[in-house]
Amino acid sequence: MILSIETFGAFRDFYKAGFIEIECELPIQIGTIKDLIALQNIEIPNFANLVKTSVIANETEILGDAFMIDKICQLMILPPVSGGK
Amino acid sequence: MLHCAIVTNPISPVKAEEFVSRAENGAILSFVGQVRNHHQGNQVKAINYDCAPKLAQNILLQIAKEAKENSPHPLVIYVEHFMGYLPIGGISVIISIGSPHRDSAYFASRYIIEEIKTRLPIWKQEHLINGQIIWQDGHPLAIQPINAQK
Repeated sequence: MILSIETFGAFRDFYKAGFIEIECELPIQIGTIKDLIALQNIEIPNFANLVKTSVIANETEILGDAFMIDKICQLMILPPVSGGK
Repeated sequence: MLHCAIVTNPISPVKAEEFVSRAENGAILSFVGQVRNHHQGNQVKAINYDCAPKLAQNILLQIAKEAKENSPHPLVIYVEHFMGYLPIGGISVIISIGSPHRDSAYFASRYIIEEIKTRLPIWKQEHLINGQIIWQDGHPLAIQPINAQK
């Protein structure tokens, strides 16, 4: 099946459509989803690190890498935030 | 009383202070964040704030509730963060606190802005004078409140 993940921030430069699609089977852990995303652009320097330092969330909360997705839901990948001082 | 919102219309400090100004509040404190014209040696002309609005709204409300619950005094809190394109001087965030006493107002304001900077899913895209458009570097979003981890 195809899982669609909405993109924000720096990910928008890599996915102009505004979402990432990955082929996978459910259930799947968030950490595995991140691994599959990192593999999509393995040739781009620092892309894997961008994925590693990002978090995945649904509409209401940020999900840890061990969280299990067992049904289709709306997911987002959130890159590091700029913060400031 | 809490007002928390991700907005695309201009933020109004007057509206914020009207909301938190109550007869029982001896302290009204506002923090206003605005777009500045430089960052890390670059000349900036504007910032586009990208945002996951529903999640950001939930997290903003959670942060404000934490500030209220941690306060020894009853607080009135008004927080708005802008989403979209803002030129120099545009207001990106406002935190207004109404409190019976100043110490809890200062504490709550500082708590909210620091948590926003680490937990709110909002990204800055700088538009530079030289025509470049770049995403600001940053740090991974914190899942738990930073102050609760200390």
